[in-house]
Amino acid sequence: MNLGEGFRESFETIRHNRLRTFLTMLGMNIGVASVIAVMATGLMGRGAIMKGIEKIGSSLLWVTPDKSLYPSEREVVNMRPEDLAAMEGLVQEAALSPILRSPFAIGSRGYQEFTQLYGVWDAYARIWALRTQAGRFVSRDDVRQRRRVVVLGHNMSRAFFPSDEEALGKSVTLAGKDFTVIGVMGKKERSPVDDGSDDDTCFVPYEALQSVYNWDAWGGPRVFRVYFKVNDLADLDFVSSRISQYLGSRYGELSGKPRFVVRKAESNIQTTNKVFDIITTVITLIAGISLVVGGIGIMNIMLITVTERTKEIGIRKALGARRRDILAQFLIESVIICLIGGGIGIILGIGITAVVSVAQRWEYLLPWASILVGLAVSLSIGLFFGIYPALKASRLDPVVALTKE
Amino acid sequence: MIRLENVTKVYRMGRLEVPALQGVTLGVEEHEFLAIMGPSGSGKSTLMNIIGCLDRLTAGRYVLDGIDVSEMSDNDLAEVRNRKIGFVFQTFNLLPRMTALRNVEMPLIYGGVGKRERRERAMGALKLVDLENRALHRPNELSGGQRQRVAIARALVNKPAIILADEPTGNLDSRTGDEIMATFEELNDAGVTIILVTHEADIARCAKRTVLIRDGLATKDEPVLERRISRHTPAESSLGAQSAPGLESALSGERP
Repeated sequence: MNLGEGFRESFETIRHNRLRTFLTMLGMNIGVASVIAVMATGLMGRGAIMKGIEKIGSSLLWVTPDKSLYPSEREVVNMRPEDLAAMEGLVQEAALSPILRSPFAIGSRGYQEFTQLYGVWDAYARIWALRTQAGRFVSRDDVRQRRRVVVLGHNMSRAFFPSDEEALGKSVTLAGKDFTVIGVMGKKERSPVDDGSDDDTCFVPYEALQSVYNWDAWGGPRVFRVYFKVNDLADLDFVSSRISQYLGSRYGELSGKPRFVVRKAESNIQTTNKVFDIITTVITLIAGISLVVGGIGIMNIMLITVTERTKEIGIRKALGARRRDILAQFLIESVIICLIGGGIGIILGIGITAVVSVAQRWEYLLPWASILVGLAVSLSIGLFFGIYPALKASRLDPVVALTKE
Repeated sequence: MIRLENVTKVYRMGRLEVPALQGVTLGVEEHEFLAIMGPSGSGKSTLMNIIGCLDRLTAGRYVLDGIDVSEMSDNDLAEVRNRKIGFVFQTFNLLPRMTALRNVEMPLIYGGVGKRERRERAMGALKLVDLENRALHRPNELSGGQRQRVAIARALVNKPAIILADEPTGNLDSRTGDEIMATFEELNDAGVTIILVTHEADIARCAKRTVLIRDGLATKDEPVLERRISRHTPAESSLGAQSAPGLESALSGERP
């Protein structure tokens, strides 16, 4: 019997046992779909991270006190405002911006909202690749002259003004002071490397926020965190050590360790990537288990089929079917079930992937490799779990098979 | 055509050895119409399985159409069954999901005959048993007699050396049974060698020669003196007027 006839017969049998075949296929559908969905989601997630890396760059550094060295938050030694100017003078190779975050009420014309206020320098927008959709961001002059100006978050502008253009030049009240609106932020794009701001966040010059911030608990103005972005990646380590050196000489060590740590976005990304790898592998393995379960289901149904069709096998043998003809017939059948099941699974998997990509706003990546893997796995399962029932069928004694009712 | 020499068959059931055939010697010539008779348990089914190359003999020699099949492998036996033997069973043994035509094609499929030739030859065989207009019906849409005729067409289609019919009328009423026997007679007249296995003396009388199997031995081997002819009139039959070359051409898929 040639392959074409084998396929024809298998399709006829499958068509005849539609419900049973469908139920058997479900295992394959779910298994293949989950493997593909997991692989694809991993791929897309990684893609999103990579995009984040490209956008923010591995050129990002930030300095914070090493809080783990202190017994309580109150005792943490922070940087002081004068350190900013000193560091700026020390590292020409990088743009820097401090950041001070505080929730504030924001009001205009008797209406009030709550906002997360970010006090930053002009370089902040470049460091985090933020853009305004109207007006401008905080400028160097705003910072130097401690101007009370504000860049409204995307949603805040919507809350107070009919349009972004009308917001510009208007005044809003922040901490009892009037701030002039100089710009409106564009809608925030989520990124795996993120500064934590969102569409409610408003930006003001660092010094302006510092002047209205309540420093009572700290005994005067402090700097909690500074971001650096080097212009040339080759300078990353140099800038990092330069900052450490400066802060070390100024604040000394605590129990043999520097009080401040300089972190690189890059190392964060590597860690995330590693964690991502592990999670993807583990979930793929778990999804793989469902494929094995599906395969066992197929083996089970093929064994039942062989038992049910013992008489048919006997007849075929009487008519001249050789062992390999019978073997091929049942093997083709299980492979077809697996391939159809796997095919449906692939379509499902691609669908799930599309849903995830929309929900997570990740760039949709069609995982060709996972489709090939899905097909290859289906084929292997069909062969692996089909071979035993098919062998069993092919080895039946024609006399015994023929007398079976 | 068939030469069985001192054939024995012993079944092993655990430690017990059950002898089914205890040295059968039998020859069947071309164009013969032989009936193998015997009560149940006599060994006639075993003999039929061996003649049909479905089972292997324990000792002795079996030569079929000039080929010694005594020591053949499973695969070679399958090929011998395919080319040399046409089976007709008591329960018809058609494959239920397939059309009559496809059922008849089955031996040709295993024989590796191409699609087109296969179809033509299968149609030719169905025509011989007068069922060409039922070619696309499935077995459950056919009467018992029609099913058995499909089975006969299937047995004929590969132009086998012998037709081996095991109680072919056992599941049919006597009238339909007679029709089937008539078909066999016509085929035999057209030159086909037929071996009929039956326990009914009445049916056996349609053959030209009977062999009685008793306790695993061929005991009585004699020609049928008063042959019962099931055929009604030649005009009613599709095969009546067929000569051997006519049959040959019908099975080759050619127009006679």
